Order: sequence, then C-alpha cells, then structure tokens
Amino acid sequence: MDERVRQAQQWVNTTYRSVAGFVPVPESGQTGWPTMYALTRALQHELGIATLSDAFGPGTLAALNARGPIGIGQATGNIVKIIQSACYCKGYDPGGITGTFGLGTESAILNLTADVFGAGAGQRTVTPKLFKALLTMDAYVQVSGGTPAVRVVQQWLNSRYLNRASFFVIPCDGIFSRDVQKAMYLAVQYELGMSDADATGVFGPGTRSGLAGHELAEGATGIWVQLFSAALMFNRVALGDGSVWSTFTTYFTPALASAVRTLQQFSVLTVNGRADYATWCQVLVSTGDPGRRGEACDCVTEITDDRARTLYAAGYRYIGRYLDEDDLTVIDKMIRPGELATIFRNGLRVFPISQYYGREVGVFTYANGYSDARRAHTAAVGYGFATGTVIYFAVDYDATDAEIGSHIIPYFQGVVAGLASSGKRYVHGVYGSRNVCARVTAQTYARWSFVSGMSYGFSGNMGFPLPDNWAFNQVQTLTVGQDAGKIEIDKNIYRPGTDPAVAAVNVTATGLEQFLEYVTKLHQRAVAYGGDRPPNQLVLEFLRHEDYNDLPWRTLIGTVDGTFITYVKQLGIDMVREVRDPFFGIDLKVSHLGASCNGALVDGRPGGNDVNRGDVAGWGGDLMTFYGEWRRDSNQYPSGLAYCREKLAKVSDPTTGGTFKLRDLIEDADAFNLARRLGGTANIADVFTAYYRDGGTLTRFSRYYADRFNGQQNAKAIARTMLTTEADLVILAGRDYLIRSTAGPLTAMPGDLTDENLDAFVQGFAEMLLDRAGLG
Amino acid sequence: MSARLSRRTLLVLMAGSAGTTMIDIGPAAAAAPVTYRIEGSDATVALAAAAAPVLLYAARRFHYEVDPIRPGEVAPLFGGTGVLLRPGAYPAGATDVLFPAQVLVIRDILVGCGGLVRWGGDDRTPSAGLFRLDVRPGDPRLAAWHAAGGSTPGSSPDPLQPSRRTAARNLKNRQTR
Repeated sequence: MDERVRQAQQWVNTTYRSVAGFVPVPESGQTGWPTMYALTRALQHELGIATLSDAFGPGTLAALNARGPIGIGQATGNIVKIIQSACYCKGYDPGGITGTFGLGTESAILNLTADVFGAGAGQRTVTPKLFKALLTMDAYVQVSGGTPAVRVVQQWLNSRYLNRASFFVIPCDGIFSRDVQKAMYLAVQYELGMSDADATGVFGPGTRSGLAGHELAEGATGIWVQLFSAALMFNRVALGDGSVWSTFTTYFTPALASAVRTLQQFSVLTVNGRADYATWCQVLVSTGDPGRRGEACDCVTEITDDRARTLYAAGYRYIGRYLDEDDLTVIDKMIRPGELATIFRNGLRVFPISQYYGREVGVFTYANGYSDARRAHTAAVGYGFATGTVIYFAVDYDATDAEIGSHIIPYFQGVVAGLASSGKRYVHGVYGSRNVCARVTAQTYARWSFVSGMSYGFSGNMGFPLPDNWAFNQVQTLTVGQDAGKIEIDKNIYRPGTDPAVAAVNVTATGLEQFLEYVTKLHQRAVAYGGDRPPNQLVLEFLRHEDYNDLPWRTLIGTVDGTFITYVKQLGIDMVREVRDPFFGIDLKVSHLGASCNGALVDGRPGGNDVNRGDVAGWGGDLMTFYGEWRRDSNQYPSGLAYCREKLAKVSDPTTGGTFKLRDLIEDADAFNLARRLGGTANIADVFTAYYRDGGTLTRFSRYYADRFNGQQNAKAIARTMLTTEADLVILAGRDYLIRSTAGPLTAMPGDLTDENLDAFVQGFAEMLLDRAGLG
Repeated sequence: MSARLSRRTLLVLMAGSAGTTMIDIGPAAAAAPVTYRIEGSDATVALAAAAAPVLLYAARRFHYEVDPIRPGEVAPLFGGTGVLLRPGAYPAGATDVLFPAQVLVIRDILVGCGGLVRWGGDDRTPSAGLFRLDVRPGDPRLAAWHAAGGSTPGSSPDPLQPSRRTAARNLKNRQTR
C-alpha cells in the first residue's frame, strides 16, 4: 500500500462525497480503475459537467480544451489537486496534494511526459489529452516482459500523432499489445493522408490499397521505412544470432532486408527482402494478405470426387477434416465413409481435427480434454490413421489470456493424458488464436499450431506474433467451384516442412518401424563383424559416425571403429538420419541420440553428484551451450531462472529459439535410459524396440530424472558441478569452448558468477527436469 | 470452425460460467435468462436465450472496437432482452461520452444486428451503453438472424463502406426517439 495514494483517495472522497453522481473509492492505498474513475468524476464536476461518468469522453476533453493547458500560474485549487493525486497514483511525485501547481508538480509532469514522449521531450503543462492519460491505468515505464525497443516506438507514436483528433496517448510499457497494434493502424492511415474522420483505426480496404502503393526496398528512407521497421519488430523476427529484430529505423538497410527475408521465409511469402503488399499485410494483421494463394483448407462438407477435383485444380493439397462429432450438434461435419479414399485418390492429403460441442459451457476442462482425446483416438484408429499422426484439438472462440490459463491449458493437459492413456498413438496439435497456440505449445508441447488468423480482431490475435510452430494459418472463407464441385472452405496458408499430413491410411510401415529395422540390421552386422568391441557399442558408433566423430568428440567419448563403418557401408545400408518420436511427434536426430548413448554406455553413471564425459555427450554439453546463450542475452534476462523458464527445453521451430530444445532433452534422456538397459547380455535391437514401440517413451522423463538426477537438490548440485568442475581437463576445455563460441571470448564463466546468480540458473535447469518428469 | 453456423453455435455454447446450457433458438425460448460470456472479454451476463445471439454480437463488437469491457461492467436489463455495457462510463443522461469514431462503429454494429436491436444512445434520455431488442423476443427474425450467421467472429466490417453508412443512417432515422 502506498500512503500517498491513500491520501489521494481520502482527499477525493472527502471533497466530492456529497456531489451527485460521485462514487467514493475504497481508501486502500492501492491504485486501480476505481480511483481513476473517482478522479475522472471529480474533474468533470470541476468542469461543470452535469452528469458524471467514468468515461473521459469528448465532453470532458472539450471542457478542458476550453480551459487550455494547465501549468505553473495557470490554475489552482481542486483541478490541480486532481492532477497531483493522479500523479501519485501513476508513480510520479508532485510534492504533495497542495492545490498549487508549483515546481514539484511541474517536475512530476516533466518526468511523466518524458516517459510518454521520450527522454528530452518532456513538457511542463498538462494538456487535455495528457490529462486523459493521467486518469488511466496505463504504464509509461518498461514493465516485466517489455523491451526498450518497443517502448521507443510507443513513445514515438505518442509524439508524432497526439495532435490528431482520434489519437490518444498509448502505454509506453515496452509491450506489444492490442493498443499498440491499433495505434499502428492509425499511424498508417494518417501517413496515407486520411482525414481524422476517415482514420478509424480499422484495417479496412482503404488502408490495404493505400499500403499497396508503398512498396519499399533496400535503400529506401523515410517515414514508411520507420513504420515498417516497427511492425517488423512487433513480429519478433528471429535473427541468426538468436536475438529478434529490434531496430527502429528510417533507413532500409541490408540488415533490414535480411530480416524481411527471414520473416517472408517464416510466413511463407515470396522471399524478396522487400516490403511489398503481402509483407506489409503480414506484419500488420493476423490474416496477412487474405487473397494470397493457400495450399490448404478446412471444411465441414464431405469431399466428393467433384469437390476434390475443384480443390486440386485451385491449388489445394492439404484438407482439414473433422474426425468425429457429437450427434447432438446441428452440423454434419465429420469424415464420411469412403471419403478419405476419395481425397487420397485425387492427390490430396488430410489433417484431422477434433472438435466436440458439449452441452455445458465448461467444455474446456481437464476431464473433457481427457475424454475428447480418447474419443479422437478411437475415431482416428477407426479410420486407420497411422501412429504419429497429428490431431488438431480446436479452441474455436476467442479465449482471453486469463481463460487460456484457467481453462484451455487444463483442457490440453487432459488431451495429453488422454492420448497417453490410449497408448500414445497420436500426437496433439492445437487450433486457435495466436496466443492460444503459443501458450498451449509452451505448456503442453503441442506439435504444430493451426492458427485462426482469419479472426484478426480476436484478443488472442491482435498484439501477438505468429507462433513458432505454425503449420496452417486460416486466413479466408470462400466458395470455390461450380455445381456439384462447389464447396465452401476456409483457406489456410500451409508452411512447407511442417506437418506432412496424411496421404494414406491403413499403412503399416512407419518411420519408427524403419528405424527399428535399421538398428536391428546394424546389430546383425556388428555381430557378424566380430572385432574387439561389443556389438551394441559398434551400433552406436555407426549411428553417430557422420556427425559426431571429430576431434572433440573423439576425445570426449572415444573413436569409432572405422573398419566396422566401412564394412557396413560395403554391404550396403540405407541410412536413417531422423526418427519421429512416438510421444511428441518431434523428429529426433539419430546421430545425436547415438553419440549421447555411446557416451553414456562407455562412461556409465557417475557416483553421487559427480559428472563425467558421458554426461557432457548428453545433457552436460547442451547445458553449457545454453549457459552461453543466457550470458549472451543477459542484458535482457538478468535472471538465469527466468531465462530457463522461458527458453529451456521448449518445442520450437528449428530456425528460432535456443539450442537446448525439447528435442535435445528427449535425445539426452533416451540416450541415458537406453544405455542403462544395454548392460549385460541385452541386445540393442531388442532394447530399442521395447523402448520405442512398447511404451518406454511414456515414462522417459520420470525415469531419467530419477535415475540420473535423483531429486531437486541433487539435480542442482549435479548441474553446478557440470558448470564448474575443474577435475577433468577435457570437460574444462570443452566447457570453455562451448560457452565462448556461443557468447564471445569475454563471457563470464559459471565460476565467475556470484553463488546466488549461478544458483538461480541451475535452479531453472532442475525445475525444468522436474516439470518434464511430470509429463511421464 | 468452417461453417458459420458452427462458429455461432460454439460461441453460445462457450458462453458464461458453469451451468450454462445450450440455447434453443426457437421462438418458445424466451423464458429464463442464461449466463453467457462476452467473447474476447472476461465479462459475463445473463440474457434471455432468444435475445442472446444478437445482443452478444453487439457486446462482443463493442468490446473489440468501441471500449473494452472488464468483468463486472455489464448488466442485463428488461428481463435479459437488453444489455447495459459499462454503466459507470455511460450512465443514463450522460452526453458527449463517446468519440465520433466510436459512434461510427456503434452505428455499424446496429446494421450488423439487422435492425433487431436499438441503441440507448438514440433514446430521449441517452444511455450510450444500452443495447436492447427492438422486436419481441418471439420474433422469428431473431432465429433467422442467428441461423444466417454473419461475418467471421473477430473480423469487423469496414464501417466506412458507403452501403453500410447508408444503412446506418436509415436505421438511425427509424430508431431515434
């Protein structure tokens, strides 16, 4: 509680209690909307407005305009006290609620306006629009999650456009939000020369066609470049070094062109480095250019031969269809008998969607997620969808950020449990707004996102970038074809290289089976080869030899038997380099798995809280590199704990995010778990088959956590040892190399940090392990 | 997610807190109010089932495009055939509380409601946050409006389109008291 705020509340209550239409505020010392409303009503009363209201509308603004700006010598009494009270509520000290606009109040206003308009742009008086800003809960200082770069853009928008009638002060908290996006629309409209009456802040046809006339390319300068660079910043374009685009500039530099190409690649636009029409739309609205070509669609109508031909001719290849439905619903939308064959026959692929409508509103609960997943599983098995198929579970409304936490995440946790309890044949994806997709992915590891970008006004779309793992983006409803071939669809942009969707059902050979056959064959070759190394080890050496056999790796976990490699290749074998994990649907890198497992097999588990080179081949090396990334980003993330929580072991697009991804953790855990089973007479082919085909992956993280780390305290201690031990020169040199090659030669090594600082980082690692252990 | 009908049905089904039931869009269902959420906000309101789809459409667009509605800032009126948005901000009798761009959107919302809803701003004592049925709850046009669906949720039409402005003007002339 803030004593000054309490005094402000006390003053406004005492002064206006008897005024008709005044609503007293609790004298709690805590700022909130009720206090701002009370001050607004107090102001209206002072201005002679008869009917008081919480809204600082045109009437209040006009009355203030008639008075003119308020500064030293321009007002005394209650209006000044209202300003001073509001200053306290906003966190600016006016030197008391005195009723005199003196140097103290002026200093508070100078500070506040420097935050609103940027350093050096402070003002000494309270203008009517500034008064309106004073009576909001908007922050003008950077808040948690905000960035200085975004804040600079916010301040710039305030400086440049506050003189326009329809523009009001926006927050300067460093966070890209709905308000900021709306302000950008207004900025574009103003720069297009629209009048105040025409600049509505709606991203409509007039604005779109205006943008088409402002294509930009490298070498361009001026205001349009500035607006474009800001919009690019809001889209969090990943740069090569792991940071995101955060330059607000009037020059279209080569670096800007390069960031544009990255965005275009990511968003599946023509990659030309130019701010063309489609790119402008992409950075400003969640549909992007809705008229552009899409390779995918979804529909509630049966795909007949006629319709399939229509879709194929129009360029569609990926069709979203519903697995199942409740017979209570009014829509007949599910896949019909024989329909899949029709789809495949016409050269199209299918991605399955699960969406049931309950009779109760609380449809998004853990229990419903669980049962929906089990029903989706049964339906998908019925159609013959292969293991590893991604099923999109739909959130078909605008879930608010609060609801995502209270309902949507629990629902998806239920989905995960439901799929796991059905044998984990299928992998979940998510359909919803950008925010729904991003949060569900971060918290439940949805494999791919199917984004409802078409609803661009959704609270979950405005103010959020396209999620890292997007595969389909729904952008337009339209009808294609004629007569029997006519069909209404939602057009989706498809992102190549993501969900391959399904081209056939009831097929037996899967990627996993090929991988297991591959390991089995290698094992047979190893046994036939003989030699002085155990066959299991020879197999792992073969798995790793292409990528993990340079000098550092040979030093770390030993050489591979080159003669065996040659022997296998002479006999001929089809290399398997990736295998799709049956649990998460993520493609695992076979050579990394082989190298980690090779290390764990050779070195075994060290005693107590010690570490060894086998660990470095697995989690240890990943953690060292991740540490380097944290140090590189430490200006933005002073806390190692926060950094781990945001970045460590997440599902993310290969081109973005950090290096220690969920995929790496899976490979590390599997390598360790598998090596534990490879002792004695166990045969690697049987061990891999039991692990991957018969449910070993269901408990991979809980086993790994228990067997290698054994609780939170030990996990922290083990991680700390890994980052600081000097007992093994090979580990020491490897750590130096990994950290410095990631973050630069002058990087602080773990041993240089304060105890507390390093502790937070290893705490983050231990927490992550515990959290993943909860998945199974 | 594809058929417009599905979106609307879901919107209604998602609405409100625990205990809400599926609405019957037929004319018989004017009876007990049911609690719905205003999509995109964390606010809920109890409405007559027959009136709910069109009033929730108005409230949702008001939230997105005019003024955000926070929990507790919405109340039912007239037995759930009307909805009062942000009564603190828009008390009866208060004038000059909405900026021109906001009024423009409200006029467009009324066009989107197909003339089935009237706005309190057009009342003799203005009430800028009030939207209520301009037809009987049993009027078949309500069910027809619901069944016909509308634009994609979260995609607002451009209120400056000449046809929509003309429709808005005509509606205003008809409804202003």
